[in-house]
Amino acid sequence: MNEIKAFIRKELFHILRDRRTLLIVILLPIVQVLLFGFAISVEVQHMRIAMVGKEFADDQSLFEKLAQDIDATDACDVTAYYTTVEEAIDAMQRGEIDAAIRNGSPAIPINPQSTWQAAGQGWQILTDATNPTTGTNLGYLLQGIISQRMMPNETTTHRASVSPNSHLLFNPQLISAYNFVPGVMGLVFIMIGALVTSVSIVREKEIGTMELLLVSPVKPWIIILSKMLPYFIICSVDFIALLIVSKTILHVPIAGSLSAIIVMSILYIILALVIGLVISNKTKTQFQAMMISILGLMLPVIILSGLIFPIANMPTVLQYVTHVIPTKWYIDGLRKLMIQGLGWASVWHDIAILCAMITFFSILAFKTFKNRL
Amino acid sequence: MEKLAIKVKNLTKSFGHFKAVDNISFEVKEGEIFGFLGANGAGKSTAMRMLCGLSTPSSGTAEVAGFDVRKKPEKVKQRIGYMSQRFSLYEDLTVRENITLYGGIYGLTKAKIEEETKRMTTQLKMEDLLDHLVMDIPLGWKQKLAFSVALIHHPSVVFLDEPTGGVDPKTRRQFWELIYEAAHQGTTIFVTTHYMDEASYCDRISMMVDGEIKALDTPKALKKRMGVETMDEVFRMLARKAKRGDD
Repeated sequence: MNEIKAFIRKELFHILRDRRTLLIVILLPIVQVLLFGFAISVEVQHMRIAMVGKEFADDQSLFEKLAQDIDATDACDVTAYYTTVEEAIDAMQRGEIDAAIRNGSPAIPINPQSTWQAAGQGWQILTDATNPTTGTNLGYLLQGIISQRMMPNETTTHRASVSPNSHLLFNPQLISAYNFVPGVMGLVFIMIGALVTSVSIVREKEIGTMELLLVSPVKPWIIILSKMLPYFIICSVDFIALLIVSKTILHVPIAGSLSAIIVMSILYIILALVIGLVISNKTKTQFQAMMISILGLMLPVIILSGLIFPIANMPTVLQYVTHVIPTKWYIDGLRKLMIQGLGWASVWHDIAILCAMITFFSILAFKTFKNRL
Repeated sequence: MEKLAIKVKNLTKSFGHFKAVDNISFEVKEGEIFGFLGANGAGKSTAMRMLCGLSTPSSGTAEVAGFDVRKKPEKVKQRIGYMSQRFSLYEDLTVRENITLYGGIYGLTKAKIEEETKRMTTQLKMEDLLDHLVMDIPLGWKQKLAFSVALIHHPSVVFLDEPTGGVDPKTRRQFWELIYEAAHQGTTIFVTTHYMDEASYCDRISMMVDGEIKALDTPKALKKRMGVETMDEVFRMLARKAKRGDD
């Protein structure tokens, strides 16, 4: 017991005295989650909308009402009125507006190059799709507003139109932070658990102190355990911090079972640590450990875990590949628990897979570690 | 009969077809300063690693401090000290924290660690540096401190792997005074070195060439047998026969 205490104290000294690492492991996760939550947003907000051709509209009061509807949303502000489409396109090119809406009266000439979306009822929407995601989202949003305004008039229209009536569940405001929080957590624990831990173990090999520890009577597993424990504590601190930041600043609804969230996270952190151990066993220099952690682990996690790119949109082959990415299961489970508000029963599957992965990597770590001696 | 600290018989370590250590045998008496010499790649580090229990012999036996390294490596580890050519203290810990850590590793009690800390710093005249980070103290001091820390649990054998690398001659002399003092108190010293002047400080030396021990005797006897004046010449005459290159 004394030895473990001596080791853990030493490890804490290392971490506390290395300000840069400390900053990385404590501050970076919070900055990351805030960045993902606020800056890297695919939500449409404060879009500037121009209303075109009021003068030509069939029903000017309806036109005015629609402008008010659009202005009333959080996402859009009506910032300009134009007479012709050309004026609107010019304004869009100058970057003054993000979308234009007009009543589809043929009196206004349409530029053949512009991409018009039919919105029913003769309304048409022109969006700036320089950023395809925002462009498309904004188009759908405006389409929704228009069809809602038209709904009461449905009976009076001549043309029968079938418009899908879709509802967004769980995240009706399409707030991307909800989706990103579980993803960022998945990334952060891999980063600290695998990258920082493996680098810290390999550093001892590199400066030669590991040899000294191995000639001591202390059992190797004690050395390794006391190396991992402080990082486990750091990950737990991060976990709590991230949960608080998500709840208070990003208003993520932690709707499901909190105990399941905690258990899943603990399992996932252990898994990350064990993977870090395997990496440290397989590498000789800090640089190697870092490259393997970043290229071999973090990059696939970012791309294939569903953190940014939806797995369902990937080619079938890649979808199978994502099964081996531990983070996929963690994010999957956490989204169910945090956003869909489900309980234990929904994540058994994910938990079982995490446990299987822990077992696999532990055996691998144990075997590779023995070889080194 | 004098007691033996190290007893090596037909020790071999091979990696595939390559025999890093090829059937070496030697004995080291208790309290002796034994110089373990050889060019880079001659296999001395591999041999030393086996004696410390860091790697398992392919064949042959080795007994250190009365225990077989293959059968009872934990017992061996309890009774040996080790200091590597590469610096072996933690730079971002203070002198005191380093001593406390190694004391803890070897299972010393708190009171005992305190006592050792006091004794060590007085001996090295490092009282003022106790709460300084190791990275802030000069290399010579660090090496001396590392040696003392390697002796914290009073091991019966201490292995020094090129302990004075990169240290100025004056500090090297001081370092050897520490070695003599430890040997005088009965600790067996097993030391590898590049410096031939240091080789002549040893009671006996062995020369490894291509994984084998080509010569083993007192420095004086070796010089006499080769008919040369200095250890440097002895070393060169033996190393010239080497087939393996430096690596």
